[in-house]
Amino acid sequence: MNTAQQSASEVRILKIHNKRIDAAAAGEFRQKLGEVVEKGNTRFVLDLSDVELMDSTGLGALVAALKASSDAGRVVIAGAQGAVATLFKITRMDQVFRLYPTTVEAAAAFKRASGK
Amino acid sequence: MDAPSPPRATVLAVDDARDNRLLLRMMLERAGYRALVVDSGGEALRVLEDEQPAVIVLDYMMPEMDGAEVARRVRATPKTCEVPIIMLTASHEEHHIEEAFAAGANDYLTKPVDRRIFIARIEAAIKAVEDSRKAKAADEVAEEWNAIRTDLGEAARVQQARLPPLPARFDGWAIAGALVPGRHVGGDLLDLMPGLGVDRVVALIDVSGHGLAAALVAAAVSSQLRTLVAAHPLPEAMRLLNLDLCREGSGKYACVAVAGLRRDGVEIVNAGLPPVAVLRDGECVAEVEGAGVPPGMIETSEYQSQRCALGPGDRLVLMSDGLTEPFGAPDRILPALDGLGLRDPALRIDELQPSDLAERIRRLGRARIQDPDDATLIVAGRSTSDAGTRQGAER
Repeated sequence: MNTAQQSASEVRILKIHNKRIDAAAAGEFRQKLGEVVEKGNTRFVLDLSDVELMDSTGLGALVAALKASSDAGRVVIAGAQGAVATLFKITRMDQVFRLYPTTVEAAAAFKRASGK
Repeated sequence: MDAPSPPRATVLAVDDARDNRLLLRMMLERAGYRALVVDSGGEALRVLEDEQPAVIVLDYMMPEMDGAEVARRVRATPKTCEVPIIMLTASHEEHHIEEAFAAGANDYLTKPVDRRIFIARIEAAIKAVEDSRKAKAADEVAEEWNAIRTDLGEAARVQQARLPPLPARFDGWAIAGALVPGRHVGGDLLDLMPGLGVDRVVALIDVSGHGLAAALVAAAVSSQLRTLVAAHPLPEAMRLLNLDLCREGSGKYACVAVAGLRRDGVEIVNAGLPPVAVLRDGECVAEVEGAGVPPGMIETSEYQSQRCALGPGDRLVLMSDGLTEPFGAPDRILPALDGLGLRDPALRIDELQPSDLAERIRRLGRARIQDPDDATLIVAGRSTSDAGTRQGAER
C-alpha cells in the first residue's frame, strides 16, 4: 500500500496512492488506517483522489477504521470520484462519512467545525 | 567485508587404513566439508548416534565389520535410513559392487580415488537427497492443493444445490434467477422465503469479499433473514439482521435487497445493492435505490421500504454489483439490463432457466475483468394471465 501522510493544523491527511483497494490491498489498507487511528489523531482526512476502484473489502476496511475510532466525525473522505464515489452512494456510506471534493475543503470543514 | 560462507555439509568417512583416512579427510576439508573420519564400522555406528551426516563414505573391505554390514545397519536405523552411502572398493573387488548396492549403497567408487570425481560424487549424492526432499514437498503441496480444489468444487456444487429450484411458479408469480460466482463459491446468494403479509419474499445477498468465508456468511445471513422476514415487516427484519451481523463480529457485512411480493405490488428494501428495477414493456419505470447501509456495518442503521406497483407482464429485477461492474458504474443498471436481454418484452420469466441466465451473465464481458465479482440476478413477475393493475411506481 502506497501512502503518504502530512499534517496540516492538527488535521492528519492520509493519501492513498493505490489505484485499487480490493481484496488484495484491503488488509494493508485496514492496517494503515488502524495505525492512524491508534496514534490518536484527533481528526484525519482520507484522500482517495488516486483510487479508481474500491470493492466491498476495501469499504469494509474503511468501516472497521471508523468503528475503531471513538468518534465518526474524526474521519472524513476527500477526492472520492467515479466508481469509488458511487460505492459510497449505493451503500449509503455517504450518509455516514463526510465526503469532500478535495483535502483542502475537508481540512477547512474540520476547522469550521472546531471554530478555528 | 564478505560475509563468512555457511559451513558445508558433514561427511562421515570410514576406512581402516590410516593413509586412506588422511587422504579422505584432506579431500573433504579442501572441498569445504566438515569431515568426520573414523577407522571402523563399529566406530561409525557410534558416531551416527550423535551425528546426522549428509553422506557416508564406506570402505568395503574392513576387519570385524565390512562396509556392506555397516550399510545394512545404517539402512535399518530410522534416523539414518535415508543418508546416501558411497561405497569405496579396490579395483580388484568389483565383484563386491552388487553386494554393496544390495546392502543399501547409493553409489560406489574404486580406489585409487580421483579427488575431483570423489567430490563430484559427494555433491551429486547431496543434491539427489535435496531434489528428493523438494519433490516430496512439492508432492505434499500438490496433494494439499488437490484436496482444497476438491473441497472448493464440492462447496460450489453444494452452494448451487442449495439455491431454490428455479424458475419457480406459485400463486400467479414466476421467479427466475442465477448465481455465477467470481471464484469457485461466491459470497452472493439468492433465496425465496415465506414472509409476513406477503406471497413470498425474494432476497439477494452479497457479502463483502469473495470465496468460502463470504459464502459461509451469505448462508448464515440467508438463514437469519428467513427467520426474520417470517415474523417481521421487511424494514424491521433488516434492522434486526443488521444488529445481528454487527454483533457477530465476523468483520463481514452484507449488501441485501429484499422484495416482498404481494397481489397489489411489491415492497422493497434495498441496502447496498444496485437499484432494484421495475420493467414495464421494456422500459425501466422504477429504480429503488439503497435505503440503508448494508447490514453489518453500522449498528444504528434504520431501513425503509418502498412500494411499487407490479402488474401482469411487469418485471422486477434484483442484481448484485457483479453485473454492473463490467460497465464501470455500480449504480447504473440499464447497461446490464440490456446486456442480459431483460428488456425484451417477449421474454418469459417462467421459461428462464438458471443455465440460460448464467450464460447471459457470462456474456456480459466479465472475462475481461481482473478477479470478477460474484454476479447474481433475480427476475420476478406476475404471470400474464393474472389480472392486476398497471399503476406507475409509487415513490
